[in-house]
Amino acid sequence: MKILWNRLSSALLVLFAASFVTFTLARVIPSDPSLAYIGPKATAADAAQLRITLGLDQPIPVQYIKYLGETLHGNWGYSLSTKQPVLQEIIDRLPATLELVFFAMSFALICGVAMGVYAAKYRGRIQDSIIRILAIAGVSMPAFWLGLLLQMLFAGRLTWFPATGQFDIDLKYDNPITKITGFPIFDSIVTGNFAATVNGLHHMVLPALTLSAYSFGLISRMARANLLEVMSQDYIKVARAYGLSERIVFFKLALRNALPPIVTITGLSTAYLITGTFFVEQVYNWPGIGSFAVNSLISIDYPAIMGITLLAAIGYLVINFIVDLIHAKLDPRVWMR
Amino acid sequence: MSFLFKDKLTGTATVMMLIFIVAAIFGPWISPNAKEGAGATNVDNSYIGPGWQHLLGTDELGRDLLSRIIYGARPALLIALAVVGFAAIIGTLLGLIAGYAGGWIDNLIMRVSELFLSFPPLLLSLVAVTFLGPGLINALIALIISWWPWYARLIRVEASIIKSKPYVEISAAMGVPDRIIILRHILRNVTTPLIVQIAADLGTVILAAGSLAFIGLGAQPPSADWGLMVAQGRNLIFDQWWISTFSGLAIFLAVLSFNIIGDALRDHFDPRIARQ
Amino acid sequence: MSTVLKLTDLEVDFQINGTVVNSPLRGMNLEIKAGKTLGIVGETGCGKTLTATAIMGLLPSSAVQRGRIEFADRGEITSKEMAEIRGSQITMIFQNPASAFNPIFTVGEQLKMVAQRRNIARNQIDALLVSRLASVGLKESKRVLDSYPHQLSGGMLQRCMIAMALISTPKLLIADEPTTALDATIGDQVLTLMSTLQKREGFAMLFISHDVSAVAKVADAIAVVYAGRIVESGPTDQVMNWPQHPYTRGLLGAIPSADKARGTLVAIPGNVPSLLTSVVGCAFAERCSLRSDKCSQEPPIVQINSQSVACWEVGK
Repeated sequence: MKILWNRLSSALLVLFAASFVTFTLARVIPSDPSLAYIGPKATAADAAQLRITLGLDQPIPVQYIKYLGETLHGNWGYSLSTKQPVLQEIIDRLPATLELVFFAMSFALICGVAMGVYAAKYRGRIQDSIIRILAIAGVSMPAFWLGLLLQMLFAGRLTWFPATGQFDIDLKYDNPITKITGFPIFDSIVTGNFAATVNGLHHMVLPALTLSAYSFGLISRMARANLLEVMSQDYIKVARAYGLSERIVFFKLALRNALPPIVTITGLSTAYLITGTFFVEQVYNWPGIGSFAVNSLISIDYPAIMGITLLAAIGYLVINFIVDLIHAKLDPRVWMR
Repeated sequence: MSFLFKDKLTGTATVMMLIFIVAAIFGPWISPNAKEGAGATNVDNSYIGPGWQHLLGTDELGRDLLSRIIYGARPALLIALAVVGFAAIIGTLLGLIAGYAGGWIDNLIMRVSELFLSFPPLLLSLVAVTFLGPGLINALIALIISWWPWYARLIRVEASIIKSKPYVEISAAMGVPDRIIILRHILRNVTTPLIVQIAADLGTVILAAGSLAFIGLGAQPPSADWGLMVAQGRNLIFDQWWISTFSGLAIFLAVLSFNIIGDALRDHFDPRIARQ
Repeated sequence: MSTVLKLTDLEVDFQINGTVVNSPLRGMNLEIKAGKTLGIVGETGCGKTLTATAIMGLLPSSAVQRGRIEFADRGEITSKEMAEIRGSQITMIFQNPASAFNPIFTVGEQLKMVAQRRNIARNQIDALLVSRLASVGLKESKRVLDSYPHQLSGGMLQRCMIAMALISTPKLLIADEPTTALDATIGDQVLTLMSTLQKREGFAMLFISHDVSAVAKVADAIAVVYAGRIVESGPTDQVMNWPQHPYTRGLLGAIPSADKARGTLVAIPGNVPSLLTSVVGCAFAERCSLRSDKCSQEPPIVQINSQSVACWEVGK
């Protein structure tokens, strides 16, 4: 319990520090933020007036406290480009990204572990070499390039999958999804709207595949290396010496011992996934946080950028927290002193 | 050095890396069309597909794609070396300072490192370069900012381990000033993981720099940056597919070769996981 | 008295692509009778553990085995047949109890796995485990069974391992360096425990160690191994008091003891030969003070009293 509390408090600390850093960066860098609000035609007097209105003449720590207060109240500012509240934009777009991440991560995890285990079993043989090449290719590929490639091949040339978008444009009219949780594919399953589910999944394939490549590489490499190390441990030899079947030794014993680092690397790669969505959503026109983030960056939409940074930091911390919990559950040595 | 050719995969990677380095150094002399590689346009030749005249085709401004890609090797390699170089140096210095000084300096440096490390890596660079403004130099700075913490932490951890080792006390008892002992031992112990990490990071940085350029926050036109070129060909991917495909392929192969070599280095220095 | 284990000319090579790279066992011959303990001593790397691995049928696929292994009433037994009785009629305990147990399962869960493998009725397993733990001197069975390996001391874990080895009432127990990783006093307790258990349960024991004094405490007979071959064997007190082979003499001379307080420890010059080079003749020759030209040929086994010695110069 104590360890949990420690993690929580240091996580919160990091969150504060992160928001402060982003905040300061936004205020301190060369270009004047107030200009972004009023456009280039304003006069110096207008600019000065706006600065006072926005409270930009206050010392930075004061501004920061104000910012913190606003943020905790749910006021994350207004996006300069869409003019909507930043928090609202994020909430609207989060489900699309989360579903994408969910499918990408599931695929990476299942395939990664399966292939890593398979490669370990056939270590040294051709299957092992192929999987290792695939894995290292996965971590070396630029996500945007892979996305474009898949788009060109499977949507352009082979037309097996749609090139962009989360659903067919007509879906809104033909089979609209009733909003229950806000997660489209989930909602469509729950409401029995299977036409929409199929359509959604159809659109999901290429983006999820693209996004999963990096994580797949990381996970399968870790799974393989770890399993090999576990298999060479004494307790495996002992298990064999007591006649336990190879199947039990492999699946029940070795695999469970190999899991903790796999869990850790899954958490780590989810972090990479967060930034990966930026590029994948760009390429596939996915209406999620990633494309919102890229647009905000390009248009230097400060409130949006800070909102997204905050969100990313929160997400990262939550993921690491969950990973730590699972890790502790799997490996008793962690929480017993 | 022979381990670089220990098997077909590693050997191929080494060859690819050598090609990459040769292209970076001798680009202007080995390109089929040096002027176009550097940026001169030839609009009459736009959108020619791969063929004998232009092995990889031409881009939207009629420039020979192969030359452009060869020219792109130099900035890619330079960015990688610069980022990793500075990050390693800054990180090492800070790590050493933290390790020696201890106390609040140590704490400060380590907290700051952890803060930086708690962000998804590319995110920090993206945000930093947004605020600094697009451009190659700013991208460089943004990337260095994201990369130094790892090195700082590595050195600092090693320093704190070494400080408490018996042979430091013994040497100190014999009159050798502990700073020198610590430095010597740290450097010796840290060389291997440092080399392995540098090799891996070179690849990762090329990837990151390419990603920044793709979004438009890195190198700006008309420079021959691979990421930029992929972005420029992006909307043409269905018809004039070669522009984005080959530029991205260059990034992929460069990163791949660095990663494979990084792996080979790691296996070479740390054969604990014995291969049969 | 019936023979539980008999090895005849057991040889093991390691091969890669048909070429022999290593010949760690070059002809092991031994016999263990029911209820008796045979101790195997030798330096690290002489092939003691490998012998045990071969007996259990756990050699890796790169190993090529020749010779006969005979077990109890089954006669000659192959590795495949060994797989069936492994862990039930022949069990083994290992040097490092801390690493021999799986860190993420409790001791109880691991013992249970062994019991389940032996098809012991589910409702009887718990009682069996408790009685087994009691027999090795662990009375707080509930606490031990619910503990993870890292929560127990080395001595306790070794007792648990002995308990695990006796779950199926084996005919033969192989103990590979059981006390090496333990403190001297704890190790002594474990040795005493093993002797007591053997008298009570009647299993035969193969006791492997590089610590001659430990072996001497529990073994009825001793076999001295050098470079993959037994160079001397016989009843314990005879070998200990009247060692015949130059290597045995050197080995025993290297043991510190209170009587030799004034003398110097005798070390055997040279090193154990690397088994990557094939050995011709007596492997010990190059380090032996009695060597002669004859030693380039494999020495015969000479019987002196009830000892067997592989040496040309013995009996002189």
